[in-house]
Amino acid sequence: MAKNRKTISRSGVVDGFTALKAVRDREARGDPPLSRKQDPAKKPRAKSDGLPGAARTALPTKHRIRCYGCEYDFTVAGRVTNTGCPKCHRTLEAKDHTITKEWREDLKTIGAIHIREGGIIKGGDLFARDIIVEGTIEGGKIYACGRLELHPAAKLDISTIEARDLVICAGGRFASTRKLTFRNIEVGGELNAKLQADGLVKVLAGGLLRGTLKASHFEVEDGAGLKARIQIHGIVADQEKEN
Amino acid sequence: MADGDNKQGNLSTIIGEDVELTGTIKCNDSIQINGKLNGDLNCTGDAIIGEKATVHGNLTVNGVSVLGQVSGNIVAKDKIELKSSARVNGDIKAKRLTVVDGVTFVGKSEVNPSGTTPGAQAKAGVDPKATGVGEDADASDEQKKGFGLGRK
Repeated sequence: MAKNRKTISRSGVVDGFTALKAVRDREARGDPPLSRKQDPAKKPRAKSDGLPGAARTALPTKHRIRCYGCEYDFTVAGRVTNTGCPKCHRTLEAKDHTITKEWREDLKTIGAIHIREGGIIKGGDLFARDIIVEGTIEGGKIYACGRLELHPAAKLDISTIEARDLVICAGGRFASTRKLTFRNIEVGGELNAKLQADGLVKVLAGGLLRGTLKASHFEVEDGAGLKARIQIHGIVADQEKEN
Repeated sequence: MADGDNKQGNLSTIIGEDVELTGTIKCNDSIQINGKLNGDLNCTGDAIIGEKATVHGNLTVNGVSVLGQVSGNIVAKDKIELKSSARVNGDIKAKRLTVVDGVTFVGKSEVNPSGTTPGAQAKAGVDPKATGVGEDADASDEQKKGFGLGRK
């Protein structure tokens, strides 16, 4: 028995018959079965060890895309490139656009539209995944199926814009007379509106939220201002949805 | 032993989980409530409302950290912290406010980090009528001028 053990350890090669015999011998001796758990002495290699191999599997970022033809929502993993709508098979362009002058035409993309300071939207439909506004919007229809980011220099009537997520950058001051519905809202500047959110509403330090707010999740950083009527149902709302 | 987030090094008063009080509590130092209070709390120090605590009344404190349930108004001179297990049904007023995701809160809030009065805000160019506390947030034309629309 001991000789067999020494043979196995020296050669480092274990055939099936030897392995099976070793298990049976162990059971016959009454020894406890070997645990299948990983030997705690053997830790998985970390990248910092300088050894090849990945310690963690990197998952690609998923992007929620809306087709600007049929308004069908679907998910794309990884980098957003030109793709086709699974429903209407329309080719969707993923080009990013920057507007620095007067603009009156339709512009549709599943990329981003950046309206820089000096850019003026006077008409046309703007449809994009992300819309960053630093300029002026005087007309047309604006829809962001991802994030709408408003910078301090932006001039627009926020009531006329539709977006999934709203971000008010520090220094921006915006108000709306219409009830606004978003998924997530991040307030770094000042926002005065009737808000409803399905996701997380976050008021950052230096931000100020006025009006009314109805949301499932709410976070306020130390240093934020809040002057509103609020209904936050938190975990209770999530549990009710699950039931 | 007191439950909840005991941030105070020396709590002068701790009300245990199995204690139920009816009436008004007045104290000049810090207090932690882990039981049930049917009444108001007036504390010039800081207060901690434990995770299993229930308060049916108003809190007037210097600062408060809420982990349990409060049905009433909270007025703090300094700071209000609502932790993830907090459930507040009432109005809150303080200089500073911190809310963690998971809170259940229904009521009005008035938090002014700068500590300025409405009169001082008007001098600074902020429209004092731009308030949504208990009112519809209808932005008037004067408001819109100050909010990115109509600005030149």
